[in-house]
Amino acid sequence: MDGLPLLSIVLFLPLAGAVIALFVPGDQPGKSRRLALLVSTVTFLVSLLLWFGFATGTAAFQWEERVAWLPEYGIGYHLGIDGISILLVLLTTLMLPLVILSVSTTITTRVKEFSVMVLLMETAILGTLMSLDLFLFYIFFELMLVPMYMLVGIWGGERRLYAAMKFFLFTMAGGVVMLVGIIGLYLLKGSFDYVEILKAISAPGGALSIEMQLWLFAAFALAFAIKVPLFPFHAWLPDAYAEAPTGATVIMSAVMVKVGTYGFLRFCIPLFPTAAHDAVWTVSILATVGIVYGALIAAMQRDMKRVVAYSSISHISFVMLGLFAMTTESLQGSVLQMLNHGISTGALFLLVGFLHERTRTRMISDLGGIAKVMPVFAGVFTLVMFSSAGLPFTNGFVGEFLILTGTFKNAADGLQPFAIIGASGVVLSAVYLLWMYQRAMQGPVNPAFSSPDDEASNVAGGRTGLVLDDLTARELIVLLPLTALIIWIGVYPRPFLDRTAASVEAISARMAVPQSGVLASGTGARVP
Amino acid sequence: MLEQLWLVPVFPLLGAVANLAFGRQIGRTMVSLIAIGSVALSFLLGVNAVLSFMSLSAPHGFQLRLFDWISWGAGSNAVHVADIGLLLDPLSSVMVLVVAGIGLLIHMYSVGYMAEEPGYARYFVYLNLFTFSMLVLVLANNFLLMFVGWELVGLCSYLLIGFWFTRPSAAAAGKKAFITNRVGDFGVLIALFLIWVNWGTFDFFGGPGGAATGVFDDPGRVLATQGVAFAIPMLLILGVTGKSAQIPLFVWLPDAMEGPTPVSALIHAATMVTGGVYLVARAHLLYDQSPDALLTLATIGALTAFVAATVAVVQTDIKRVLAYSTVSQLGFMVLALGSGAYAAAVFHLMTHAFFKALMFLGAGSVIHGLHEQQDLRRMGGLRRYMPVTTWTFVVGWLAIIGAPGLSGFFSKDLILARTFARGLIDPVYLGLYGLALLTVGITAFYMSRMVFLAFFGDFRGGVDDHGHAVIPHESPVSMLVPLVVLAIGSVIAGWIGVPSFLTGGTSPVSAIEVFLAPAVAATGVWEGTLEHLTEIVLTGMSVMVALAGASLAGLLYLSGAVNPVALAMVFSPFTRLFEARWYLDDFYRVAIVSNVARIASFLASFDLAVIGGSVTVVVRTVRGAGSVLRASQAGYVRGYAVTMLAGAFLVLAASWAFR
Repeated sequence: MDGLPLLSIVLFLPLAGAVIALFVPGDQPGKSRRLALLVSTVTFLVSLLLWFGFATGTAAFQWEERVAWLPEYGIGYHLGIDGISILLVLLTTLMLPLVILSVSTTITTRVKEFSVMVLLMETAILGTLMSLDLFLFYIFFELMLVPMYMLVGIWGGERRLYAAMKFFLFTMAGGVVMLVGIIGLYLLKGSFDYVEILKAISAPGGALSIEMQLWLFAAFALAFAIKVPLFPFHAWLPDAYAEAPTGATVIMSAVMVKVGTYGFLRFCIPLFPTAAHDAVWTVSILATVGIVYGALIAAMQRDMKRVVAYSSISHISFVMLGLFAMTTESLQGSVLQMLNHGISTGALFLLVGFLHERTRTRMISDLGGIAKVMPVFAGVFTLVMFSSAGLPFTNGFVGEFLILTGTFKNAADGLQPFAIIGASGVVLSAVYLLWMYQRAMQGPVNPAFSSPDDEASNVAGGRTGLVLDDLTARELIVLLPLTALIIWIGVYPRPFLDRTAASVEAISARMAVPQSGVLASGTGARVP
Repeated sequence: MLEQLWLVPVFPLLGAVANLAFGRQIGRTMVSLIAIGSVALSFLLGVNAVLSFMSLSAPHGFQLRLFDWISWGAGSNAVHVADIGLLLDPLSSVMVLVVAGIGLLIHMYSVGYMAEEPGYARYFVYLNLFTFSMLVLVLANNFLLMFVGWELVGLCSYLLIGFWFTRPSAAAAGKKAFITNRVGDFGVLIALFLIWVNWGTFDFFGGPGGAATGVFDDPGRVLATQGVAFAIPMLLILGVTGKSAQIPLFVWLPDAMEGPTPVSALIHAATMVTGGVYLVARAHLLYDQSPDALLTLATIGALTAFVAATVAVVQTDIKRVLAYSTVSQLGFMVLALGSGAYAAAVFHLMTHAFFKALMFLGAGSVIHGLHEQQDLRRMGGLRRYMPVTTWTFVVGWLAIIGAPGLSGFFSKDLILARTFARGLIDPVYLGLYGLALLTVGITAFYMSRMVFLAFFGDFRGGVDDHGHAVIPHESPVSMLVPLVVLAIGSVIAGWIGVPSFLTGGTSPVSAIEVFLAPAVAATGVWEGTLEHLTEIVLTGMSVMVALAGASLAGLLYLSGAVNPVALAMVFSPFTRLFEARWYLDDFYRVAIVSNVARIASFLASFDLAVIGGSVTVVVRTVRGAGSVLRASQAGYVRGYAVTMLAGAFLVLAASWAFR
């Protein structure tokens, strides 16, 4: 296995699939759908080799591939994964086939184009997670925009064009600023190679000046903050999530936004440690506000999808809080919570989509008593809901608890208040989730709906209105891996935490360097 | 046999999983067999483990570490946040027997009670899952795993209160219970942060395979840090007021009666709500260090006992009387904890589990026999129709009001005596003792009122709301057997706590206190015992007060010598206060819920208008200016692909140009 460029294979399999899909005749939607499913499933299976072959106990990059591309500019094709990226790579390769399988009844127009876009999206996301060259990273980072713009703009809801445009402009703006930052960094260090730059910065006297750090940090942070999104950069999110077709919402919320949190951890914090440390309070304030703000607004939404959209702002803010608390516990929690957020938010959006498919409404007030009509659906919904609310023995608890404990532990930066306010998010998430559940799933069955069993039993009136079937086998297959992970990570998170530990500790050790030392050496490396 | 301790919680879990997977296919008999069988096995193994443990000399109890939970790294880099491990000591022994034992009886009872239910399998899945969770809570060997059980019992409570979820009131009550508990859990969470920061472990005790020094091996560590020794117990108290339904968070428990009655008996009377009492007893070494926290706890307990008892006086729903009674009795336990009399609290927890479960199941039998009638005003004279239910209920009644010789008599008197003794050191406790003594009288009054209204006099419920004649009938044997067993327990469970002045023993304390001492003996807070004469006087006083309360109820509701309505008119300011539940629910609605909702809805419009709006302006401008863009939006995918390729070429071209 050592000889194989495993990362390149995983990275370009979906792209190859997309190219092949282009040649499938447009009038054979089933064929292109099956092709996409096959390709993404194979990609996932190959990526399992990364999971099982991953060496714990080392922070070094694994399966590194380095090919000179534009050596004149220090641009290389440089891939590698470590504990920071392994979980997200697997999350991506897992979610994509599930998404493709989940949409087979909802995406019925331009299936071929849809398949191409989704596969393209997979390569783009994986590229950002594997790239160890900033130029390469940037290309993949911007490449994500195109398929997502089209997924929202073509297959979205009524206001899809508005939402797509909003999403595009917002993230594009961030990306351009980051490009300036990347070029700036290149001018300072003469390379686009992440590992080279990191080495140069860590060398004695190699650190960037504090002013330079702050500018570059700001440039990178803006792009990532929009992606995450960190309050108040979330303006694109509610519309994009709500208007996008379910499949695209899942890709965005479960996977794409993780590139933002990943970017903070991969680039902003290690490359600009002093600036990152100076930003601790700013980010902690914004993250804490995001936790409470997202939760409170989620409670007020009338559309289930928007409840989940705002809740995802609240939950991703936990990740940001943990990243900038920079203790081992909080970083471990954040890296794990990126995965958890993908699983739980992804599953919630899938469930809302499945329900919408049947009821043709997402308005909470138009539902009611669904648990009576669709008991299996309700059971899965309950599990996912409590995972999102951070119930112990589900994945959400492990991540959020580590984040909050680790944040509380950072007394040196005075972060205890943030941990305490953040913990109130645990109460609030129960409020909006259970309230939504009460109104949509419990209470008397809305007469607009009935269960297929109603005719047989002697329910007054028999079937009325829409007959809602419970989850189908296909839908259960989509949800099964996610629910299994919810419990697995909740009960035995060790395989996940072990894989991330060494890389996380390397970062927390780096950040524990006395800040004054960095400053002193940093001033010597001022730009000529 | 102690190595098999892990099977004690695991059996009910397996039962839940089996019935979840196959419950709808295998039929009700199999569902019941699996559900009851798993708890029976759990109980038998529990008894066996406790017996093995008692023959063992282990100072801190027996620890069984199962596997790593939240941990990572290897060797010197290893971080152990928490493991999955169990601890059996005198305290958890009592809890395991109560949980599995009462749980078993209530599983059996449920077979008859839920026989007509469409959601039969679902019910037993929840009930088994609850038993598992509660056993995790009481057997955990570290704070974090205990918190797992703590939250999971809350989940099961939510699921079971909302079991009839198509009823809006049941759905609302489930949500209220969970969220109110979460408010309490918020405090527990912060306490956990403090524990982690100060001890670097959540383990109760150190030992091979775990932390070298557990929290309780070195409880004094936090004394050095200003405020922390006070903060941790206070934060845990917030959790206690949620889980164990104390002021200010007790409001969820009366509503929890929306659940099926056996659930009220098991979860909302006998076991789950005692979780907070267990937590303090478990963490008593932290409380011993903070007299202020103890006093807070005692005050909360005494006030809750009193307030809830007054509300119980004016309830007309049989289950609500019992619910407020439960809140009140939990208040007695919390008062005991606050007096440093942890063993007394656990003792009362145990006796209460018997007689309150008995009375809830008895109420269930009444409701069952009256076709879902819960209103005391529509009952009366049931002793003629339901003899077994009546006479077992009477045993429960006598136990709770403290009739000499029955279990409640011993445990309640122990609490009163220990609170009084503490008052000799700190006079504030004498006031709390007085309040508790008054509550004993009120308890006897409202309990007697309920018994007289339901079982004595003439039957007043001849016709139901739909105009059908109601003829009360006795419940099936499967429901009566648990009643009889619990009635026996309600009599004899107190005998392990007979005060030494009656037995003539040499120990100054009772047998249950001796048994529990290794786990919960207070350190340095409460020393010495009362003179035997003082104890006798105190006991005499509480019996007299209870007798007075019961006699008053007899005058009002049995002999009819005094008209209760007229009496209520005389005391109308009070009865109005009691009927409004001391306005606590209203306070929350007006002061908290509506204000939070107002803020949230302001933020929602803010987000829409300001944050969303700012972007809308930009988008509109761009869209208005760029008709090219507008055209491209409606274009074909091919068009986008071309644009994309063009962009890529542009980037490459630029890179060549800058060469």
